[in-house]
Amino acid sequence: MSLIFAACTAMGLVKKNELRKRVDELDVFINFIEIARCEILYEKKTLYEIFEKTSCLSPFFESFCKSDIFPVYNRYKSLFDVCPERNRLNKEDIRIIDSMFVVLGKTDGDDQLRVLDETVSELKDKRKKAYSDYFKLGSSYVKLGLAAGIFAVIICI
Amino acid sequence: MNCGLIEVIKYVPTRIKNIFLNADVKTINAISEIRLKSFCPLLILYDGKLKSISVTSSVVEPENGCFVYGEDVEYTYGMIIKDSVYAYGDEIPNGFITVDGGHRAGISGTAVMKNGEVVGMKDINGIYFRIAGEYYGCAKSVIDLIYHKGVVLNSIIAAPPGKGKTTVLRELARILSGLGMKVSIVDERHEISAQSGGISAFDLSYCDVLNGFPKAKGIENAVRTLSPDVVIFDEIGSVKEAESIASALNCGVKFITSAHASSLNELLSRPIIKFLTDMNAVDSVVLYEFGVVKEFKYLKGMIYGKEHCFELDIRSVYGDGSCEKK
Repeated sequence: MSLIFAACTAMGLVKKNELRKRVDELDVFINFIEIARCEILYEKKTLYEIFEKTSCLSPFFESFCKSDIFPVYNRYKSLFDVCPERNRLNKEDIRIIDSMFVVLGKTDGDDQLRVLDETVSELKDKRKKAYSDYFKLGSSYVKLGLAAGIFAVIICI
Repeated sequence: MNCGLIEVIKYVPTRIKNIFLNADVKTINAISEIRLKSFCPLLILYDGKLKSISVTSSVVEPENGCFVYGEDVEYTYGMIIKDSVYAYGDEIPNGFITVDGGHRAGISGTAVMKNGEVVGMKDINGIYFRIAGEYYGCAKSVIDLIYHKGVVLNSIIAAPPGKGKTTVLRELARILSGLGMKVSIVDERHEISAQSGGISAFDLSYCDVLNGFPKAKGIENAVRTLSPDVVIFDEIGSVKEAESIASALNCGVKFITSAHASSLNELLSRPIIKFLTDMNAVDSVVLYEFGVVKEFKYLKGMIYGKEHCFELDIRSVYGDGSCEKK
């Protein structure tokens, strides 16, 4: 019975943690874009130099830096589609990131900055929403888990 | 071993890279250009002649060479610009990019215009690599003419494309710096020094290098901040550059530059050179080709000072090495 209770509570906590991970993942991409923006604006660094600099952000960016798949979009597609980080984001987040990688490196500096600015502002909105979800829904999930656990125990008794 | 070629083939698709890697050392050493053009055979400049290379890595006539497809050119272009068009926004409209090692990758395609100016290129259909080299001693024939007892003549080194102008400038910079002169190189197109991460790919002794600066701005900066004895820069082309040279000369700085021309008459008839010679800014012009001075003319430079003119007792040197004494 205590096992059932623990399992239900853990499920609530896992759900809450998933919401936290989405916030963290969005933070990583926002960080990446902000670094890329500075590098393009002030030093006109190439994408590969930017990836080297951002490789410490997450395991995804580390593998992105190490990979030798060419060009960048193919590298992104082949790595992002199989990386665990992808599962932490929702469809809308992925669409925003996808649309950024489609044009990354393909246009002149001004246009790149515009795309990065737009993407970062969209991702910041998503992050804000994700963070409020984490606060609101996170505690609800935990409470729900606890309730489900208690309920299950009562039924068992 | 032709290290330049090894540096260049990292940009081409694996299929073509392997052809070069399987070639023998003699073949590799004789290649000075690689030309990839969509739906054409892979062309190479082999011992100065346009040839091709087959899939079995042997040098053949162009019609029997390995075929290059549109994707090969596209891939190579992407590799050269490192998938970052914005990072090469200034170079692409000029039609070439200097890759690691100082090798020039010429690009052919369709111009993208904006307000009457070329802002980019599309439909890229050809990439032409010219392998840069470092040939010690190639400037010996030139240095004997333009340097005398610590005095450098303001000189223009002329040659047709691909005949070693940049190489001789690089060598001159190294020699003059080694002779204790303060030499500044204004390397607008990253070809003279071929710097990567601030480190030059070539031996330039103690030269100061202003990398990527437009020539006019670079000359101005060098004169103002680096107190050079000599400023060296590649391929003079605009009036603005000529004006910068003139103002630098007024600061007592010597210059050595290069220009495209196949004869000295051709060179001296160009408006930009005429502008400089009319100002008495040029002391000497040299027609150069692969380590040999084909023609040399001494033009009396007012700014250079008469006392030094007398020290130079050669007026003209011809292709066979003979000189005309003053």
